[in-house]
Amino acid sequence: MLKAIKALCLQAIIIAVSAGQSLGVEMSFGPDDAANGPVKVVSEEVLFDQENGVVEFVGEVRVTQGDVILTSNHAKAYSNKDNKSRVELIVLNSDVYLETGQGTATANSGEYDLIKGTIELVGQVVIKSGEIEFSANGLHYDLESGLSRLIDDARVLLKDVN
Amino acid sequence: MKTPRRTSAAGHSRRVAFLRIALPVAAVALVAALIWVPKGDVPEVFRQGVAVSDGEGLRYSGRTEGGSVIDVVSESLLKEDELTVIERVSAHVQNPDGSRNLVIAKSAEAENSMEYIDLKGGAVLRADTEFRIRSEGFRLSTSDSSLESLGEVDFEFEGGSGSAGRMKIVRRPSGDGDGNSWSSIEFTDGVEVIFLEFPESDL
Repeated sequence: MLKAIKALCLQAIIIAVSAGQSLGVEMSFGPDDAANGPVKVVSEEVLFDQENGVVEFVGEVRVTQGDVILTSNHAKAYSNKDNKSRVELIVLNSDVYLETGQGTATANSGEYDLIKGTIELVGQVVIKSGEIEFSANGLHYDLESGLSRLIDDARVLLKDVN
Repeated sequence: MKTPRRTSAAGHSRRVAFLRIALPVAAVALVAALIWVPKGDVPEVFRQGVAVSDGEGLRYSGRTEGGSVIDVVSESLLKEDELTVIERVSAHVQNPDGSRNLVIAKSAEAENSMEYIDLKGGAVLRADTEFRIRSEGFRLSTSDSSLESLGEVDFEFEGGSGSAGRMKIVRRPSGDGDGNSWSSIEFTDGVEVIFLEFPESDL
């Protein structure tokens, strides 16, 4: 009986996800205003390219701001064209992992826009929120509202109930 | 019976004999006094003299193959109390692209070959006015003007701050085919960088 209810619930979610594929599926993925304070980046190596205003992080990169944690093997931080000391965008190039305080996600690559307060994950995105796991080709996460939207081919990953 | 002339001659001989002994003894005593004066008493006077003199410390001026101009000067300065001497070494690197590095350190060491100069004893590096990097010391290469920390570093820049196990500033080719180069600041051995959320508001 319990298995039947679980299966029905998952069916409902699948239908909802399938229906929402064209527009994307929106869900709560983190607390409101999760990213507060300074952005801390830890890595094995850092290269400051003063000429182009680019900071390159190599090896075990870990970006932290408030409750938000992003990790990758390689990342680049881009500065404002007029003010090179102000970092506006962090691009994570491979094996991206995101933690928001309410859920986690993995993807092939990602971008953290510090001006807009958004994180975009791209490629083989897998999201875990509570006990439910989703997959999609993209994820848009708004740090201010805590809402995330699954983009393109969003699916619920069914686990073996046995 | 002694004549006055004979008496005078005898007195002269005694004085000469006395001086033959006394003068060498006095000379030895004077030399001994100069050698044995405690060293702690001398430097104050001696150092004050050095502090105003020039050319006592390390000086280096040169140009690298890449066109960077290096100028290292050690100075001795008197503090306001005119008793304390501050030893300071400054190293300027002016690169062809206009970027500049300045290191201020407490002391400097160099081998005879002058391949590199170690700026030690606690040093601050200002890289192109944007970066301020502190370390125990920095090694300045006289052949390519690169700078490498002699240990862990703490650094600040307009957008934030950080720390790292090591740091080096090297010239990298621009790739424009004209032989131009640019300065790359590279932190290694575990790096932490903190970017301020809104750097402009804190400036």
